[in-house]
Amino acid sequence: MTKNLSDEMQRNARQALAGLTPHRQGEEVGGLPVRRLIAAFFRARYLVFGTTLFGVLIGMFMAITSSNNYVSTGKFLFTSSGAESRQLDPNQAKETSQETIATGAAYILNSDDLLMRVVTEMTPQRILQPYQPTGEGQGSAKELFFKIQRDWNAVDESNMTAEEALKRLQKTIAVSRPQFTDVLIATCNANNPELAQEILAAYMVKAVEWHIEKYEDKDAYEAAKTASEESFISYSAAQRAMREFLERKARVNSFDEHKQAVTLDEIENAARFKKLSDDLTFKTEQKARIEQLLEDEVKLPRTVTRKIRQSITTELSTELRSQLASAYIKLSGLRRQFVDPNAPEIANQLRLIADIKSSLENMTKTDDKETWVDDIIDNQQYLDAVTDRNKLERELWGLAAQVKQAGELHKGTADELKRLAILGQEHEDLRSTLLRSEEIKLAAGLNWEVAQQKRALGLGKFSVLDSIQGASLPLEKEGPNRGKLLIGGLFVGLFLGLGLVVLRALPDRVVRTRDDLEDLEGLAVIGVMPRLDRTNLRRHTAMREQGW
Amino acid sequence: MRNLIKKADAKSRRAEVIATELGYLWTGLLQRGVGDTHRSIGFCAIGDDEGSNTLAANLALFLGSKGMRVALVEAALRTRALAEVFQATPMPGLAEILTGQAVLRDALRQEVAAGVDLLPAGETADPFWAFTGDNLRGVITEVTADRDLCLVDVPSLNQAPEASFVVRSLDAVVLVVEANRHRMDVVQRNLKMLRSLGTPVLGSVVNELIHEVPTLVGKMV
Repeated sequence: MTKNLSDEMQRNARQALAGLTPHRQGEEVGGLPVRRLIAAFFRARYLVFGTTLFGVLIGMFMAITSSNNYVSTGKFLFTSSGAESRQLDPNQAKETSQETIATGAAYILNSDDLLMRVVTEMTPQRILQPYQPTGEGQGSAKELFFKIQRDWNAVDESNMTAEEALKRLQKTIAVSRPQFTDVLIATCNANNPELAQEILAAYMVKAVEWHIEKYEDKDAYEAAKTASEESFISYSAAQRAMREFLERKARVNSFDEHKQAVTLDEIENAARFKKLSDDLTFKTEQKARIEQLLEDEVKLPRTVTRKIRQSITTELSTELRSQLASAYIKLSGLRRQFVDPNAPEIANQLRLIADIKSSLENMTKTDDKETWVDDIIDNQQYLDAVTDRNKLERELWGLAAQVKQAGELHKGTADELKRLAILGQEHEDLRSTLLRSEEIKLAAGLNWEVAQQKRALGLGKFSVLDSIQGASLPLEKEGPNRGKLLIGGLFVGLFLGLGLVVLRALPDRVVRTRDDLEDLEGLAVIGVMPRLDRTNLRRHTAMREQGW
Repeated sequence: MRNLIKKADAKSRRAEVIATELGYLWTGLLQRGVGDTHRSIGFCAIGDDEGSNTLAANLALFLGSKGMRVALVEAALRTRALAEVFQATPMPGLAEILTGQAVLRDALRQEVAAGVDLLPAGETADPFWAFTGDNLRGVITEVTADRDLCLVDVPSLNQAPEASFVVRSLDAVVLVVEANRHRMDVVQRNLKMLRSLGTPVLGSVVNELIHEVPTLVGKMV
């Protein structure tokens, strides 16, 4: 009989619900087995100690190697008006359109285009400048830490690219807007106070310029106009350059057509030159063969022998014939001289002719009685060969002249082709420049038309971004908090170890305690024998004293 | 074989704790009819070297010191150790009796300690075959005839197939479980097998129990 009736009733109710004996507190069905977890923790105490130590070491490593962080701050004033300020969003009813745009501006000012301008302005080497902590009069331990920090944070020159610098700026530059204000606060983190200020100052200047370019309608209108005019000038310049090139340098009307024509001429001249050269060679060889034949007396003798009648009358007959011819000539002269055909001079001459004829007849009769003798005369074949050689010589002179002329033509076209090839790259550059400037001209013209239309329709973005506070020079470092890193590492390691313990203990079904064995159905534990080491015996005795 | 009570450390804390726990064990056994209906009690374990022979020997020494007449029978022929512990000759023993090479009178070592007679394991080439006959029951009956109690070291259930024969020859058994060694389902399975033999299982003894949680923390939770 208990003193408190309500406790009795509650216990009876619990027993009815949970069985004859309710579970002990902390070991209810479905709850965390607290005792088991605590026992598992003490069993795995070395593991937990190890993970905690590991965490502390990691924290220590981070505390030693992390570079100092300085934050520079600057402020913009952003004001806007125009079509974009009217947003019909019922959820944003409390916020004015001005603030909505300002909120958007905070995100827009983080664009890569703007950040890349900062990179170009400052150079990647300056932005990615490695951490170089120094201190005068510091202790040796601090010097050692500084050396570790310098070595750990050293950056390879080859990694100082514009892309890396852009990534760094994406992480370090932030723009935020306090609620219900038109002010944008820009911050920049760096490992050096001067560097943080320098980067933020450059960013603020570039941000204002960039905003003017992108979002101020007046300037956008003027920019479109200027771009259109400039693109037209560029296009004209490209055209003029091309024209001058064709007229003065290439000296052709159409470069491609001229090149094609010269190429065809070159092919033809080369073929003609080759044909004439081949002919010249062939005829030269032919002439050489003939000369060789002429020099060979055996194969082609200069003279040949023939049979003729040989007597004294032969030579006399020849002489008489000669005198007869002279007499006739003289007779024709006399007949022109004297009108009278019976003149004594003519009669004398006629007698002389008659005497010569009479003598010739006598000589002929005498000659038929004479004997045959050898007569040496010139070889006709030899003479023909000489004639051929002379003919070939004349032809060779002509051919040589033709080959020379064809060679000059061939050389001329080849030189021209070479010249055109040299000028080809320049022509190609000029043509691509011309095409590009034409495309730019078209695009700029289109933009210019759009800008004119927008102005005509009253559409536009009218906003102003002004710098109201320049980039500040950080006076104190923002981080890292090395003590927190150490403590954080400790706790992370500790909780990691505890987590491992829990993960191991929850599915653990090994019989470790008397209670575990008693959970088996129908098996009573009638005895316990502790392990007989000093600590365990002390704890066992204490447990017995507590009424275990 | 470990943690046997010796005369040298009878007054030590270790001996004190063992004696206390043996007292609790004996109480539990008495409540379950040991000495009355159950006079031959087996101590069996699931695996080797779990301390069942130590527990049987310690209980025999404890009861002997209290004036009881106890026989300690080593039926674990594969892991015999008691003869050496009690500095008795190992042969002849139970194996020789079962194979008919010796009689109980020659094999039983009288008064190896106060009130304790020891029947060592002996030696045989085939421990399993030695138990296949019904000789063990006769030996147990003969041993318990003129003694208060017979404590038997049973071969381990998972290592020796003859454990079943031994258990069936006894009045009751106690399951000895070493802490931090077996999963609960393994214990459950062996308990089920033990019960299927028909011999009453009086309860279990947790051996080598380790108190992981420090006393102070234990008090708080």
